[in-house]
Amino acid sequence: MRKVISVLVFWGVLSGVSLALAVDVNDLIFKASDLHYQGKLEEAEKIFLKVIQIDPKNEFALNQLGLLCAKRKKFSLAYKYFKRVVEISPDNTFARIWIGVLLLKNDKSRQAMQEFESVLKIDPYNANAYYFIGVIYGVEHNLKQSIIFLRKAQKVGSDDPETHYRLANAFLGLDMVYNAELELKRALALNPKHIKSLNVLGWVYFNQGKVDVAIAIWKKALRINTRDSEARHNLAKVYNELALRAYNRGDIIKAVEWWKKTLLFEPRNKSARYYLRKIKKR
Amino acid sequence: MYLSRRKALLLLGSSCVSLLSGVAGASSGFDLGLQGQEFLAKGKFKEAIKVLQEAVKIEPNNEWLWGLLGRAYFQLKDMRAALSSFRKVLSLNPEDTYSRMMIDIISQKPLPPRREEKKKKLTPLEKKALEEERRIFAKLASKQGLGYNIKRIVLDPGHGGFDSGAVGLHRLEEKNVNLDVAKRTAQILNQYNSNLKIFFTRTEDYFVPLSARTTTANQYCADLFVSFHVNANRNRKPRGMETYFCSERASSKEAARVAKFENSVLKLEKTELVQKGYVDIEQILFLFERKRYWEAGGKVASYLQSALKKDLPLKNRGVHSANFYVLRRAKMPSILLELGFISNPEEERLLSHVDFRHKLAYSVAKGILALQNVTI
Repeated sequence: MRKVISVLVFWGVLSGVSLALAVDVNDLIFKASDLHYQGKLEEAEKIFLKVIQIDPKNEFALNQLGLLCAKRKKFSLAYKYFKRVVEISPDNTFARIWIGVLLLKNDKSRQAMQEFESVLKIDPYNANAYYFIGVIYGVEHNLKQSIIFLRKAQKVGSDDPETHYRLANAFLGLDMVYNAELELKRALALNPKHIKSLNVLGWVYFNQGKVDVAIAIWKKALRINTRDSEARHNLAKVYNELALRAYNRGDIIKAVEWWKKTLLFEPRNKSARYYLRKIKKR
Repeated sequence: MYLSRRKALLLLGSSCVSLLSGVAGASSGFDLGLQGQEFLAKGKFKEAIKVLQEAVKIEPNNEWLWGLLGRAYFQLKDMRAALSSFRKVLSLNPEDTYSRMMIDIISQKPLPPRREEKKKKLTPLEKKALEEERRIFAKLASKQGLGYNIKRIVLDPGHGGFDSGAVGLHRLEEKNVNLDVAKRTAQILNQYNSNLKIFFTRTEDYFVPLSARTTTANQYCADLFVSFHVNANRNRKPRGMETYFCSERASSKEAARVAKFENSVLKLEKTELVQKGYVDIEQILFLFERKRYWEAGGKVASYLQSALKKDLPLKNRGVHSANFYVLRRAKMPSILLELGFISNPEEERLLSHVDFRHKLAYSVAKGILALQNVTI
């Protein structure tokens, strides 16, 4: 593979016969990659298949074929391509990571974990492997382990909103609210439209008694995506609770105002509909 | 298109080599770029890097210069630097196929570690977070290996307020039984394990919409969600207890009927949209997570049901699964207990007794506590 990469950059270095073959392969790879990046998946796949006919051990082409299959939801074929890469080149961590992801897709978390661990043996700085192990521990609600691995992912280079978001969730499960808040803010600094982070950040503030701040955050989430069901449920729950409290202390005007708001976010909310009907009957 | 552009540049570079060789005073980014290209062609990669670094200082938004620099680094096997240069090209021109391909090629294999960045001064929130981490995190025991962990539980007494749930022949209301058993369960759990954190979806007689119940569980990042219910049927004969967990399809017609009743007037959310030509790893992880929670919910349900059948004088109706709205949205394993039939006069009588309700709560709590020693 290294040879192939080299000729991609400097084909003049190679001698006559191999030059023709290499240039042909590299032209095909370049063409297929271009089609792939343009979203022309079937056309890209056809050309990558030609590449592996000429060079059956071309790791890059096999990996791209795996990726193309995954994008076209042909997951078992994708798995086979990535497996083939690992047979040819056991240190191809890209293929190994994908094998792990596809194992997770088939709910084989134990085997996936082993695959990610094997990546770390080859490459102790692989952020993806740390990330996925952190995710698996997070799903098992083994929060300390999840934090340890997600932090390692960050340390070796993973600085994306999802890592921060998952860390925040793990911290919240341990009542470490400052860390959770910090991670959510970091996620939002990287992607201000990361709705999942906005939804959780709202609860961080709400649980600290900062109801108005929480509401403003969820409304922001809805401005980004008006159909986000989580933000809607959060707002409906909070407005319904506020209304019920107001109703119980006899503040009917406020209660009505808040139940009407509840219905804005959950038009079928049984509680708001019942009480508004009841108040109207009076 | 890009291929021809690249070839054209190479040709242009080589045709200019003779003109530019030995030009020491090249000052524009383009001139330096041509020099760098010449060095690249001659295999003088260090020299190429030197002039190209100067070139990108003069023209930091010139994607061609960054591309050449990436190639020079690549030849010297400085993969981190090559990656960073090719990424810079993509940030300037997201459609540059060559750089994107090079990034994909480089990313296949291990990369050397990143250089440690200088530590910045901490913000007030970072200071608080650090202090919190020192205080809490250090105390936590590490447990390696897989197996689900339960430390935070949300107890959900079904129905409430104007929604009485099912009502027995002697007017016993399901909502009151649910609340009483849930509260007693919490008390017993705390008595035996003070490390468990217990939350409620409601603590008094008021109505909580279904969506708000799961939202509460997510609000507190719970590890387990237990919904308390009592069953009913138009026919007064059915009796016994059963446990439900969430699954895509109902395990039986009866399970589908119970789910339909509990889901009440709600419409389930639409299935996720599948985008063609795109593989969303986070979506794969989301589905993996949900299936894992449902699987764990099934294990918890089986374990609790077998614990309950040993302790209680109620007929064992087994474990079932159905698509309960209240369980579906939970980001944790969740189960729904149907602790007897309020429509059965004998069981209504039992459920109206405080002692029996305490016994129910004790059995549920005992089952939950025992989960700590079981691999879920």
